[in-house]
Amino acid sequence: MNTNTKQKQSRKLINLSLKLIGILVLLIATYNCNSTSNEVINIGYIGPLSIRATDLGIPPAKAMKLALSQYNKTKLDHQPQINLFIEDDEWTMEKAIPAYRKLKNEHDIKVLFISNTDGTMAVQNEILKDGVIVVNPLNSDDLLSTTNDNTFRIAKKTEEANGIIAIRIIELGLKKVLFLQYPNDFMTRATNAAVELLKDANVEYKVVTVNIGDIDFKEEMVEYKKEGYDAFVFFGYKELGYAMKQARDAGITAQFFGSTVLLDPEFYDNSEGAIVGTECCYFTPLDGNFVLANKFIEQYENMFNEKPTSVWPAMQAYDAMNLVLNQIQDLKDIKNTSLTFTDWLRDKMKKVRYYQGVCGNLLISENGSSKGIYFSLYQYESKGNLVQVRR
Amino acid sequence: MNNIKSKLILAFGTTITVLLLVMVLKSLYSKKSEKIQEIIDVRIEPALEILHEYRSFNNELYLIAINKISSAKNEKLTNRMKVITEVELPHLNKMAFDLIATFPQENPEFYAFSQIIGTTDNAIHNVEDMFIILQTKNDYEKIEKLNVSSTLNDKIALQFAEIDHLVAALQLQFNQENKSKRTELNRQLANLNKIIIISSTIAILISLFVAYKTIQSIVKPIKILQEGAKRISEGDYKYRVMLNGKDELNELGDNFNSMADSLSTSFENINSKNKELEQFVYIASHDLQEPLRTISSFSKLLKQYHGKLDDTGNQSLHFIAQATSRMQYLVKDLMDYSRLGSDKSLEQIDCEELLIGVQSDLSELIKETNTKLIIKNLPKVSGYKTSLGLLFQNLINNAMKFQNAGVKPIVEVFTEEDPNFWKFGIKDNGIGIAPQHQEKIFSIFKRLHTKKAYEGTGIGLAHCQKIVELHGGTIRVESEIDHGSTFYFTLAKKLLES
Repeated sequence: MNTNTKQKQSRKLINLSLKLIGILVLLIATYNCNSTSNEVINIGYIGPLSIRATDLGIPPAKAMKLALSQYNKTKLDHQPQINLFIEDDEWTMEKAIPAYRKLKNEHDIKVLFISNTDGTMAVQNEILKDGVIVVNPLNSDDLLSTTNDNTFRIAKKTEEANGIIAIRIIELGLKKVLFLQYPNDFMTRATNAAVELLKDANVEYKVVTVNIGDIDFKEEMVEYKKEGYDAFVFFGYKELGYAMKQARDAGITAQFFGSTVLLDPEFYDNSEGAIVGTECCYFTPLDGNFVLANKFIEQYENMFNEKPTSVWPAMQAYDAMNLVLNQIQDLKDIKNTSLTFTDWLRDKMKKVRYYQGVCGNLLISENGSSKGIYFSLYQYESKGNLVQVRR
Repeated sequence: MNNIKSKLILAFGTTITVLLLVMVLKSLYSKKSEKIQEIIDVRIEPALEILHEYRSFNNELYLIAINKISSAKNEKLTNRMKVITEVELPHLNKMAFDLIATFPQENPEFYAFSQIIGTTDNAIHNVEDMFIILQTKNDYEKIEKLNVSSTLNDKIALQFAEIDHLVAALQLQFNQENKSKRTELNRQLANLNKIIIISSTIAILISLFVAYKTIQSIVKPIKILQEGAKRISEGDYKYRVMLNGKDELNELGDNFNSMADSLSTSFENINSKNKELEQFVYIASHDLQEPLRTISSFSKLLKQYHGKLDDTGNQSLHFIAQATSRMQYLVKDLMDYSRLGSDKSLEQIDCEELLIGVQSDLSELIKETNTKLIIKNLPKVSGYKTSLGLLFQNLINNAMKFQNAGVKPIVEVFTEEDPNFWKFGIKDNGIGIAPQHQEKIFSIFKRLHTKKAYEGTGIGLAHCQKIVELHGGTIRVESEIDHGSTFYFTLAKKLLES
């Protein structure tokens, strides 16, 4: 074999090797390209962004935006992009269905977060038909436990939280209690939970349902003073701030109690400070995972230049959104199953036995409700500030 | 192996194979360690962690239960109780359940864990019941509720004692297993380390040996070829390389020998032609001398007829005598040129002594021209004495001769350092040589000036060049018009007799 032939063979060998390397690089590049997910999942949120109970809607919406931005920033290539679309229900059941339909029609949402208990119940049939997973990040009460299989509650237990008020009344030895209750399912359940305990303890009580939008309770307060109540329980929203002020103006000195919504700034404004001293059930970072919760509040403040007006709805919503995102980020696993997205996500959610969130360690039980968020008794100290009641 | 590529492939192949063998060996031994590590990671450590958690949560829950029944003022414990009973312990039970799913059912640990799970579940229910019964401080005033709670508390105490006992026993067992597995793992890792060190050392040695042999098989022929090229460049045209094998380098060796054969043949041919030419020149110049002598003798004889010839005849006779004389010088110089190198016996020559002789031969000219001859330390060299004498004589003679009128010639003979050659220089302060003539001056019979201006036949520097080449060197000049010239020549330090 002469030198030229050898050189030609060597060149051929080098060319062949280069081609093989090229093909290999191309294959790897193609594989990597294939492994990048183009999936986009749209999530909707319906909450009170105006009119009433905005402290239960605006901070959760922002907390969910924060969770989502953190997810989208740090997600891996194969994980889906997730978008959040928000609608206002003005804290009414009637607006829930139109808001849901709008989100479904315009954005084809696969997951819906909704805060209002009545609203959650209202969308049940539609979400089942559409195969949408629903998460209530605010309440987990007995009514919601009757929801369909696609519905999850990652929140406090309403009855349990408000039972604390009744236990406190018994503990203080108060014998006659007046309930002023807003006419919705949540406040009705809160009242019923407290009343059940008071009955057992032989405490006298009276439940007065207020009309939506009522702000004048002066005449009633004169009557209530005469009836001699030891405690006033305000299970309602900002309008009851007027009632507090008017009660004090009428010379009522009895202990005030409230629900989980006292930190609505308008509540304080309407009460003109009469709210100070009111005891309520509430949840702060002290009740959850203190380190994670403080970090969350810091991040929230960095993103929105303000602290959440009411911290617990934001904390619950942040945990609820993160828990869902934690499942969806494994979307590529669905390829190994014959399940639809809804069935796959429902199964995954139901298998969450331990999730370390800002509210504490959470568990999702078979019926779709979470466990691990427990409210404590707080007292309204000054505008926007509560202190834990030491007993 | 027939070629270098195959040798290199063999070398790399052997190294890679050895490394693969080391890896396989390591992998085989690693598997044992990995298996033990897996038992520790998947079975022992999770079990110990779960047991530790059981112990701490159950103890905490027991304390909460005791506090609950003993005082109505401990309602803040409720949330903690719920965290433990609703989240932490159910999660722990699930973890324990998942863990024992990997254990054989006949395994006593499976049974013990199952008991812990079951008893924990019962304890959770009992504690929850107690908290429901004793919800408010009023409940503590009801004897019935207190009695039920007390019974529950007794049950809870027994259940926690049982859990504690089971957990402690399992912890002891798993700790022992952990210790023994870790000892075994350490032993395996130590063995693995030894194997890696030994096998790696062997692999390195084998690789080094293969690399050495491969490099040797490539470098050795190259060195032989290098030596051959050097020997031939030094004039040893008979030298041939001896390479065994069939690779490219051996092929190159064969080609090298063929080239040396061709070179040797060509050289011999040239030598032979040169000799013939020299012989021709010698014979021609020798034979030319005879008719020249005859012409010279008869032209001298004709001088006796001075007065019998007219002026033209006398002038022609004078021209004939002059031409004959010049022809005789030319022929003599030509003969000398052809004879150069005929005294081919190398000897050690002390150049300083040689220069004393040259100085003596040129003493008259030196005196006549009032030349200042400076001779610096000169070395002893190997060469042909007569030729070298002629070389110095010609160059010094030229240095004195090509001088402007009225200028005292200063001639300096010196040497410079060079690893392979003796380097000499002869510097003068003469008329200098124009750059365009500096290459031509070494040609035979080349004259730059008229005979009238400077006498000579024009063969002197050709002589010098031939002598220098005979000594394996080169000659050149550095010069500038009116600023003198310096002739540099070299002589090989290792001169082989030709």
